[in-house]
Amino acid sequence: MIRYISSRLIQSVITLFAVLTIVFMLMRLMPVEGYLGESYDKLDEIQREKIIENLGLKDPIHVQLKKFYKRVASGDLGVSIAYRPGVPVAEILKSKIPYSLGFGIASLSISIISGITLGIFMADSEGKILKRVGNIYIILINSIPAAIYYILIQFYITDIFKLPMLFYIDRPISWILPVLSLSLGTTATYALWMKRYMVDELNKDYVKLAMAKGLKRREVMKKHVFLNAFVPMIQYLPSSILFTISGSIYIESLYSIPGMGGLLVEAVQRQDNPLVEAIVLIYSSIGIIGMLAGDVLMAILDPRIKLGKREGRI
Amino acid sequence: MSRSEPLLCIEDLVIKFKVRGQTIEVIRGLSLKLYRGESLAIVGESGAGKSVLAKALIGALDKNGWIDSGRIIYEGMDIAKFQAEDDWLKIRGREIAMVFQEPMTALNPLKTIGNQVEEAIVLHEGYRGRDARERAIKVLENAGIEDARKLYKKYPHELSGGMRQRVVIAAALACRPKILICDEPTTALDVTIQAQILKLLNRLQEEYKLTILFISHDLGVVAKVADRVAVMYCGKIVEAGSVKEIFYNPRDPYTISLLSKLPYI
Amino acid sequence: MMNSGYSYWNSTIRAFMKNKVSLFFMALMAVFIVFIIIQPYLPNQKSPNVIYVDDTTGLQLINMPPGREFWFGTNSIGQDMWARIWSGTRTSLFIGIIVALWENAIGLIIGVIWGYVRRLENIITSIYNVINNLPRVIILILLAYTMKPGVLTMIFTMCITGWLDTARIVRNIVVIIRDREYNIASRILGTPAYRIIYRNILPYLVSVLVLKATLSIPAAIGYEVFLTYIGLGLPLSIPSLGNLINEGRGYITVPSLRYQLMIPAMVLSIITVSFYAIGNAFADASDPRNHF
Repeated sequence: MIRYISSRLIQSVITLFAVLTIVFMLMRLMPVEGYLGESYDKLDEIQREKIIENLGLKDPIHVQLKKFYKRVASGDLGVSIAYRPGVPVAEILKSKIPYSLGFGIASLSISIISGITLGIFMADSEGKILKRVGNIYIILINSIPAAIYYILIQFYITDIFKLPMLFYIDRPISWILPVLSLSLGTTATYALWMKRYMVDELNKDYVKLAMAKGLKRREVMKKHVFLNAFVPMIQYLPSSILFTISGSIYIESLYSIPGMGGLLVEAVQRQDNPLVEAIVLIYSSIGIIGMLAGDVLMAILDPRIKLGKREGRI
Repeated sequence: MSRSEPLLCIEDLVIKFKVRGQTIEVIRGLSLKLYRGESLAIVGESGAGKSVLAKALIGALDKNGWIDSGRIIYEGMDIAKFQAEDDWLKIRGREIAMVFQEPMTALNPLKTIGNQVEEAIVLHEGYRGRDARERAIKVLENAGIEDARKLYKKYPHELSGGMRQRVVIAAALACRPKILICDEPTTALDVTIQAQILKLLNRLQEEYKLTILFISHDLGVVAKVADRVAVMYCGKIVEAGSVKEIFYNPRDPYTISLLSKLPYI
Repeated sequence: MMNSGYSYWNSTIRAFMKNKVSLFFMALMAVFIVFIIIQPYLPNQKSPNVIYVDDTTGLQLINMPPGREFWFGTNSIGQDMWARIWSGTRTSLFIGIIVALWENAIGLIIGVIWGYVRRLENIITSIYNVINNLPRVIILILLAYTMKPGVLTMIFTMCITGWLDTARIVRNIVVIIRDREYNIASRILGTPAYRIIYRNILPYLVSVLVLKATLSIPAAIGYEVFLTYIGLGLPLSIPSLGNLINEGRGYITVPSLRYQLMIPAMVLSIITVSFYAIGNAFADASDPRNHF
């Protein structure tokens, strides 16, 4: 298992490097003038050249790349040029990250818990109404684009329940809707797969053996079926992290939550390259770490992976 | 061996299944008697009702099947009428235990083999913790697993097919049942291991005073293990008798055709 | 060759036909697609980009609710919503279909090579692992940000990131079937490789690809809406569902203008729900375990 984990770790580091390089390359493809921001018109040719040279944008590519790696490694993410000109990006992000992180974690936790619970109830055949309602919910949430139901929820639900439309840090009641909206999609995913896995497990021989030994159905569900169905669920963790990230970009701007997602939207609109770069890097890192975490957890929990391949499948 | 009173008596059992909207009769009026201490083999072609019969005896019929009519008398109870789980809990493990065909899928891949045997012991013998573990190790050793203590913490996929089957047998015996149903227990194993498992079953039967109901389509295996044989065809028992009678003096045309397919004899 | 009377496709089609709901959606989509293709050629259609001006006052006919002249009303600068919606749907669907086709084509080729050619297996697997770790959404944002806005950019960014999944699925199938006994037997008997692929692997593969394609289309449209929201979508001169929804979003608070959001939202939802339903029904129908 150690071998597996270390190879996965190395893989992730390579991917991280690949991301850094790709981000760097793509950004350099954009017109160099973009780095001058608002001051573009106010300066003349010579001054512009000076600034561009100072930013190191005239150096050969491999020199720039090396400098870039060093910069990022030391935590220097550049200086904002349009959103808040002159302010180091790291400082801007410092105040935003806690919001996004808090929201993301809260929403993920809620989705996982409710999704899995819903899935378990849907798998246990008693309760046809719950199954039907659950199915409709899953189908609707999966087929209607998130963009649309986010907007609809914000508008109609705030109206019906008299909830605030914008987020205020000091009014907990304004936290409910954004977190819930963000959780809907992931909950559906977990419910769907948990139910499917549990139903699959229930048909397996070892469950019948356990019951043949004389265990009560409830106990069999708890001790055998649940754990076996839960373990493969971990593979959905990385993609739910990604879904939460992209969802948060919407939701943060919809509800004016001062987090990284909303910041990204603004940075893009204002063409603030360093800021966009930094946010992309951070989101990518989260995504990569998420995948690593998913694989490592799977390796820890499933004894079969420790020792062998899964029938050659990836 | 008391031969007068059957331990298990099946009378005119009818089991139906609903498949894609149609109802099919899988067991069509089956009658059978199982006597205490004997080893009765049920033979027949693959895919017929043998496994269905076995499952019916512990209430593990698939959801789309049900007992339509008939009786299964065990210790004065008609277990064919059992519906509620509580009723079956009195029987499963405690009275009737089962060994499945596929040892790989019969064990939970995420739990150690020791755990799975221990489960049965905790359930039926009331031991806990270390006591339960010691007893589980004993049962495993008795089932022919020599390094039971070392292998206790291993997972099913780390053992060979033969070993896994021994674990399944151990788990079944840990319940101290009166009747052990073996549903094609050696079919998935190769021939040398087969012989070992059959020897094991013979020994265990003596030791634990078991009554064995052995299901197989392999007549060679049956010859080694059974006292009596019942031949099953189309959901009914067409002929039953001692091993000698069936093999040397078959009367039913189906039995005869079955025997004729053997390469030797 | 023995004719068992079982044809994979016949069973699949039969199973699919039994599902009335998905048949409905399929018919709906068929009608839909035919309609949006012929719509510009129907009589009395207006251009999506022309700004309409009131004859008498000379003022732009802005924000007019749906009525006789403009069936879906006009937007904030006086353009005909009816024409814009259908033009936008054409664009979005076009993007979605091209992306889906590309994903399937490239995914298929790479997946088959990956699974069948043992020598390249390790290299491709390592490449896959590295690329797979890159979050698709982030790469989309990055690419869209650095490239000029346009339909080609949209298609390009989604195609570059989308083939990975299909390739992996194809590869898994190829590996499993490659190692199955009847292929080894076939090979021993001298059947050439391509025939093995054609007879044994292709049918199942095709159904998996069709399934992926049906689900890729709404996903692509979803990405388009997402990118537009961030500001990286198509330019306003090219109407698309993403654009229209974004434009209409601002008016949600004004009841009389809400139609500018609701109509594109409805159209988008109908499309995605239909494809999702069709895809799911097809998945069930093509699963051999559901064939009697």
